[in-house]
Amino acid sequence: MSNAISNEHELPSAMHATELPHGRMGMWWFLSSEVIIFGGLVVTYILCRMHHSEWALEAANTINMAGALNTMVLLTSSFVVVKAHEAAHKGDNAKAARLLFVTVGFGLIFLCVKAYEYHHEIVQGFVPTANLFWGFYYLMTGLHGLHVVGGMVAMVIVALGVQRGNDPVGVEYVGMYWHIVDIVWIFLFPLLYLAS
Amino acid sequence: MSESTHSGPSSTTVFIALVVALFVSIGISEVSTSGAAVASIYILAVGKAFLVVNYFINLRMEPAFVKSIIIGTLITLSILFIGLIPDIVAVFGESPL
Amino acid sequence: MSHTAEESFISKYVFSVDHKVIAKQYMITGLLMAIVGGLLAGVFRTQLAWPDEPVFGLGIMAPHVYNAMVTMHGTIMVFWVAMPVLVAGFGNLLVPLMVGADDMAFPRLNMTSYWVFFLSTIVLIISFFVPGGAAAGGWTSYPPLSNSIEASGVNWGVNLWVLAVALEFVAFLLGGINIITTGINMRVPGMSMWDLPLFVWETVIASIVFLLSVGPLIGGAVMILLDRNFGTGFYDPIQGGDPLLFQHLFWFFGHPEVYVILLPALGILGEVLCANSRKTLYGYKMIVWSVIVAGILSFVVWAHHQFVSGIDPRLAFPFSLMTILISVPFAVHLFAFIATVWRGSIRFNTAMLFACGFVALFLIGGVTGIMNGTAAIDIYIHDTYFVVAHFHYTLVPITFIATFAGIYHWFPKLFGSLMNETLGKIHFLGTFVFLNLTFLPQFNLGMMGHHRRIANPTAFDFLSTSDALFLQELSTIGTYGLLLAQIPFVFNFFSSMFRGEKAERNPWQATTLEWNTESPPGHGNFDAPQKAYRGPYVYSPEGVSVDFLPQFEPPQDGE
Repeated sequence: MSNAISNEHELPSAMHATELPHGRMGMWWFLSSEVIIFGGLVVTYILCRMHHSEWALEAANTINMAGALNTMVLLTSSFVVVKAHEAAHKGDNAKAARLLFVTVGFGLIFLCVKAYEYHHEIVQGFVPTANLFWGFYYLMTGLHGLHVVGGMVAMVIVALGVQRGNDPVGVEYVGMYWHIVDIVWIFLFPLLYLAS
Repeated sequence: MSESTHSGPSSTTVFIALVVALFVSIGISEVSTSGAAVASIYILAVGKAFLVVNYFINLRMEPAFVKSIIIGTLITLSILFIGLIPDIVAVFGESPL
Repeated sequence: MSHTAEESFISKYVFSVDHKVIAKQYMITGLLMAIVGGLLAGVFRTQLAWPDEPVFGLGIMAPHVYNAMVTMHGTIMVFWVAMPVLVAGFGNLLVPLMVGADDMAFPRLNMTSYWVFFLSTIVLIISFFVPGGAAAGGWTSYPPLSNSIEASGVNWGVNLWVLAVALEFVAFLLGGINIITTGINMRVPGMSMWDLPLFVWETVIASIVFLLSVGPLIGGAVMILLDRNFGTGFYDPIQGGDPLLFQHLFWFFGHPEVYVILLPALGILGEVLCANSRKTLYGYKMIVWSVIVAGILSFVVWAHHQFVSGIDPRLAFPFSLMTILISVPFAVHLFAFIATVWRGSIRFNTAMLFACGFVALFLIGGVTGIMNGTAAIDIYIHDTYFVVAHFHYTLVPITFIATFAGIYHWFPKLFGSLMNETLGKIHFLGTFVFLNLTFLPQFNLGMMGHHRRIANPTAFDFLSTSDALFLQELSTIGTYGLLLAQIPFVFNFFSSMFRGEKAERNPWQATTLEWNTESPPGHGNFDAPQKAYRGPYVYSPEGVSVDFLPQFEPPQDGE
């Protein structure tokens, strides 16, 4: 998708009526739709949790330190993406691509930690059907995990494109997406791990 | 829009603030589970999200129109939240709300 | 022109990035699905009128087949006809042309959206043929009908249904982002937001409403899949879940969705009425503001669908109030449209006839909507044919009447020729008469207590009276007439496409930018970069000798 966006600059229609480039405006709307998708789940979860105060005991069974580690991993990766964007902005495309690959590496770490957690929980019997809390836990972290994977794929595509000499504007857009993935986790962490 | 480093704190400063906020919220959750502790953890989460949106995605430099997209999104979610409270949380005849 | 090289057939007509080709793809897919949806209606209307006889000689219809047919009829007509034709089809065709752009903001994303939508269509069609048949839990798919296999007796049908709807949502989310960005960001110089043609405003607001309302239901649909396939209990009270939750998530999207398809229809109407009355659109700013207000209000009315499903009684009053309130912006539309036509030099061509028909029909739909929205009345008529008649009086004008008006009006920009007027008028007359014959009797049936989800009304004494049976048959005959009335249209569509009278650039002497292109516009749309010199609806201006001043016409002496 970011490639589709990056090509618009050559077209005569690249003029934009507001101050924003099309790509960035499109990205904002896209991010807003992501916020609504996750927000709907979070709202539903908070409401159900307010109704079921006993879920606090279930939440105590998630591994706080693993969640904290993953928060740290995502925050750092977000920071790396910012640096990648800065590099692309300065015209250092090679560095931007390198930093994107570093971010993909952080994404992998995140997924490994998450896999360890799932394993640990499932062997203890906390499967999705154990009760509604675990249903929400797997639904929300699973959907978030899919977004992490999607972001990693997009970043690899953009990074390879930038190395081949494509317009590095995709770095900015893939970064925006990655930050939203990060923000979602910032909320999932206290909702599912802390506050038990 | 793209000149991310030209105004306000640098991205490094923001990153350090985010990490500090993370450690504080973990610390709070380790020492207390009171209502105030939970509330402050959520406030910290909102603060972190605010920092990421404004200084990493640079919402602060966008025109008012873009800010209104995000604010509209949040208002939509709060409508959903408020509309569902009576049926999901404070079920009629079941809870004293 | 952005592409000068010769294009192959595949890249020109199949995997095209040209917004006009994609618009045609959406429209034709949607209209083909309309045939499927219409035939389904013909079949189950036959069952309702003569429940003890074989339907079309094919055999007695089992109740679960009946359920599947109504479910699929609703799903197809809303998600596979109204959405692709009105929002994606007309949106893709007109938004770039009206703002003077050479294509959508993200052409390749646009193509991707269409093919995701096409995939969803295939999945939906397949769901008819899997063991157990198609989904049969109503187009709303409430739990427990949808979240357990036992409740509706359908297993794979519902899984595929959810999958198809989810793919469709993805397609229109991406398509919506494209439409919003194009409408807001690709305006030609000189065209402020307050110079945008009404259709662009309506479609952009509709896309925003869609984008902001669909998210929670995507989560809700995943929960349905998890519940039915893996045994989680999101909607199962025994496991601590709540079936009401789905109803809320569904209608939080489902009701705004009604406005998502209504707004582009109103946009089409504004353009057609204005061009054919040769008068400035009455109260342009007022209409635009009422669209914005309607978009906001559409998020606070959803629970009026649930007055009898055990929601908190404290919710009923505010939602009733908001529902009645949201009729105001649409009343504003209708009054403004009537005021636009008032004392105009009206040209009664086919598009105009359909547009006037819309105003009349939608009025009936809107007024009965206020009855339904009042909780006290709704509790009596809920889920009866009164409600069915009400929403068909709104949705059929939206989905078909407005679409027909649009197709007759913009056919030159689609295929470069004009449609046959005589056939068009026959089409209008047949559609208008039989539409009323189909749905007016249903109001009475509803008042008699005919529930909307029963396959055999004669099983109930109060629906077996001669009056009720007569109304039932009347409605069914109306349906046959309505279906047959579309034959002239189909014939007209194809014969005009290939052998129709060639259209000039601006056959209706209209004022918006799309009429400054060739008919049909080539790839890249305009001959030269465009500029807007005035607002969109300058008809019969004072001080100049011409009848109309298009947005693209440079300023005149005396203006």
